[in-house]
Amino acid sequence: MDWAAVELSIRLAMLTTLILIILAVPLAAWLAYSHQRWTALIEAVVALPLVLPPTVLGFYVLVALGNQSPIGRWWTELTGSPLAFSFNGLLIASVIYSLPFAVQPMVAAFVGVDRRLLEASTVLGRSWASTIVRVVLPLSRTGITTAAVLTFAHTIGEFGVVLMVGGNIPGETRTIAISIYDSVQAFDYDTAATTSLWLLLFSVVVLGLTYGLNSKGRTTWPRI
Amino acid sequence: MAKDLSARIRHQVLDVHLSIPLEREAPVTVVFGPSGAGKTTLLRCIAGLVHLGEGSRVALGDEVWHEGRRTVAVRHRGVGYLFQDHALFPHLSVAANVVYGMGKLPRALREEHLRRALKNARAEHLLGRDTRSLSGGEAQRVALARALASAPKLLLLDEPFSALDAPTRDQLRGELRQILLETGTPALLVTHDRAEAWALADRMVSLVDGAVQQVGGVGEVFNHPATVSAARAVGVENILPGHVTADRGDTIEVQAGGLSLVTHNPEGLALGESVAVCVRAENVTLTAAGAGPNSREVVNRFTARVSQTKERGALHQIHLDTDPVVTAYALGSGAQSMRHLGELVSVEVPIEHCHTIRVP
Repeated sequence: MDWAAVELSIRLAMLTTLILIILAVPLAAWLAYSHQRWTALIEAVVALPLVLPPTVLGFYVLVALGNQSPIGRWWTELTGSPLAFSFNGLLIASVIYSLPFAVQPMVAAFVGVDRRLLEASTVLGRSWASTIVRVVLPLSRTGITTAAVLTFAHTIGEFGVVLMVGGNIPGETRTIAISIYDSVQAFDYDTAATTSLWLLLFSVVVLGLTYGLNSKGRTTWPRI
Repeated sequence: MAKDLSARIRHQVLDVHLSIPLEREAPVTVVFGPSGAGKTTLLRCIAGLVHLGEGSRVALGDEVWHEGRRTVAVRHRGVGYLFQDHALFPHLSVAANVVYGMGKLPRALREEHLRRALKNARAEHLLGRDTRSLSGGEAQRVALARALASAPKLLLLDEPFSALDAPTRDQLRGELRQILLETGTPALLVTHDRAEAWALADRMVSLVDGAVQQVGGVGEVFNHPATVSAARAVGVENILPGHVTADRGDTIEVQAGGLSLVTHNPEGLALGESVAVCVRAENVTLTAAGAGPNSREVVNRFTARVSQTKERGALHQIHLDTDPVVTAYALGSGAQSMRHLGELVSVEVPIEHCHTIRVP
């Protein structure tokens, strides 16, 4: 078992989830409640990572973060180290790559909140932001949990983007998925099998727990 | 120091120009009209929940809420809104629901205001209950407490009792008026229920097809509708179209189909004018034919046959075979009506209950 890779993967997934939940709430609220001309366009852009091959996405992120780009140069000047092939670069790529997994469940949950409650809150003197925090978020707990779990699990399992942006630097960018690939390349099937099994079990447990907790209060088909 | 609520609203289905005095002693204005008349939209426009165009203006006294492109945000208008389905926050406790609108109030005062609001809405016993477990009537009480808790300048009520069972509705209706008087809260209440309008209204606005037909006292709007649409809106059963055939000074004679009716003439209708005679069915008296004084001596008395009876609880709605059809009520018990199909009856339409409208 490559424990450094496990630790790295979990750290990456946790940070990605944290950042995305914070970013996705206002974005999802905007997508759910505003009907401007470009809402659909933004929605499409958010969904892009679902359809693009990770390599395409990884390629663009790599170009955008590399030392040839303004962002890359600015970051290098600021911190003294490049963004590409670093943990921070990997984190940015992960956030972009998992964006739809965080935003879409939230949009679905936000749309499901009874409009009257939002109106009641506004009439009672609450601002837009206050209404989101006090009414929408508490009533969208299921959707937010789903968003967090999907983001976490998706980040743990990502491969193509990591390879493109992060490469394979132990302790810096070598995640579990890369580690498994590495083991197979080196004909170390035993390590690959162990790591794969752990990853599989972990995923089943996490998803099972989430769906189990979320299924409370769900409508059931009437018994005949 | 009565303020006026003035609204000039042009919005999709609505074209309304309205000015309503808001008085503490006569707090309730009822907006009455059939479904789809635009009553709820009117309320939403006043609250600011609907985006209005540049041609509209809404103001409470000298506080202008909407004019041209300027709009005061909903949350700064200080109105209370009671929704049909109460719209309580299901994830919050009863107490948290009621204090929800007290954001700016210091914590120390909230407890006191919470108790007062619950007391005002007769909902003290509901404190500590789970919001999701409240019955319709209880939830509406808590919603009323929530709306009153922030001492709104104006309370807007959108058919607040329509989702409740009849006994609860009657009880809450009776209490609502008292609560509004006690708290000195002017209110605009939307309903399509005549009994509700009678029970609550200090003044009434009748609204049909997005246009105000009439503003006035309940009796005036119900018994003396200004237009034929207003008469339809308030449910006048007999609207008999005809024209003036004789002018006898203080009364006129109207020929409506096969009926000749004598009515008062406060509007100064002239010979030959097109009119509609409005008579509420409850004001049409039916007696057994041949009974009573000589039918020739009483105006607006004629004989007719019962052509249809419909059960309406204790009252039965009776259609007569006149031209046009005249509707009346008769007492009944169960399916048994006092009047039988085909029976010959003596019909009297008292002159004081005939209201004549000019038809343009």
